[in-house]
Amino acid sequence: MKGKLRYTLICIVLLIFISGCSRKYVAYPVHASDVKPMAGSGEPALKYRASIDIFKKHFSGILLYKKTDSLSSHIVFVTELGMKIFDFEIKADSFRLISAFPGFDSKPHLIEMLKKDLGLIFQTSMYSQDAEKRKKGIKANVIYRIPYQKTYAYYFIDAESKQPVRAYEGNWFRNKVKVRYENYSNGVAGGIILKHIGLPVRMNLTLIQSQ
Amino acid sequence: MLRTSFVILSFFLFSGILCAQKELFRPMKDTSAFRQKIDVMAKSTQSIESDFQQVKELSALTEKVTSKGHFCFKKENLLRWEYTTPYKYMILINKDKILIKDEARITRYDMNSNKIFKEINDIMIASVQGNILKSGKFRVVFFENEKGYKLELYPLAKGMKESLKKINMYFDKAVSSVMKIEMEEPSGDSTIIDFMNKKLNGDIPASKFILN
Repeated sequence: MKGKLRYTLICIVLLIFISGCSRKYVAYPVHASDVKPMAGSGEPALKYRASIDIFKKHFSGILLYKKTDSLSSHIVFVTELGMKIFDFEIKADSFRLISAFPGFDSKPHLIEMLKKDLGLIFQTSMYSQDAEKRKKGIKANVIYRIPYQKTYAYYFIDAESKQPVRAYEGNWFRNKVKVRYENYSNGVAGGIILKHIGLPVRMNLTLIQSQ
Repeated sequence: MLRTSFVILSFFLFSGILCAQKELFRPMKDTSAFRQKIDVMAKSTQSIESDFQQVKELSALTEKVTSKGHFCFKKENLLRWEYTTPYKYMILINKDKILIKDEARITRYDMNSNKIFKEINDIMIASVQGNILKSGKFRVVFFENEKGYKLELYPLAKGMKESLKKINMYFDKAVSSVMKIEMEEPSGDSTIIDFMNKKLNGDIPASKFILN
């Protein structure tokens, strides 16, 4: 009897907690006036020095992000020696692998992970119609929750500059991937760090100033 | 006004045609004489030191990535390929060992245990030295003009064809060393490396190739 009562009480507390959490977000399609687009006009391309560690593999080179027209953009990674490792085309929030270095394209799990991580970094789902806004932000941040793959992407947007300061992918009780944006200059993040929680996957991007 | 515009336009068109003619290459008449020059060059070259500019052209993005640096080569199989802009990055080849220095991170590879590095090493060394003709990995087409020579190298191996369409190598008339290398990919992208401030057979200290 005592056990049953305790179980019922726990269920009630959990229900109140869950319903409380779910009410914190309201439907709010995000616009460019709410969050500044990452690539701006698209000219010239954003160039980042990239250091990518995926499990035991290490890649270094230059990552380019460029808006090629009003609907599409590309993310291209080239090594220092000039070898192109991958080229993704993004239309709305869908990724298409245009080309990959021979051998790289035979690792579908790697490609999928890259698509997901790069999409989170470059905010490909930001302007989704299904986006939600948290009723109360944390400190000076506005928080948007956007359906992303099978979970959510959470973006913490600085209320004043309207630029992301951090993001994570996962759900409300477990973050799978964390992103930190830092050193903004002229509206562009000077540094971006992505980390997987519990997996040896990490990306370090440092902006290359225009040459 | 119209006349002035016409004169300016004609000047630009004419100078454009002249420039195009300078660059125009025709099939080489005496390839055996050229091969001999290449042999002499490969044998007489003990060391090369040069600045370089590398431009990666991404066709889909209409975007260029420009890097600059310095390289040193010394016989046999010693190469220091160092980028200084947009950031510091160095590849050091010492016989069958490769060291990559990327900021504070240093990675060492054994060339014989890594097929890709072996391939890159062979092409890099053979390209700067000019003895790539003997590698047997390419079908070579020879061209010349008043200023120099151009070789078009088409990869023979299926694996290499997937990532490389051809390599263009440019030599001056004296065939003293490689002046420019262009690598064309099947996607339409290319990598162009120009060599400047070249110093042949100078004394390069051995410390430059030490893997620390």
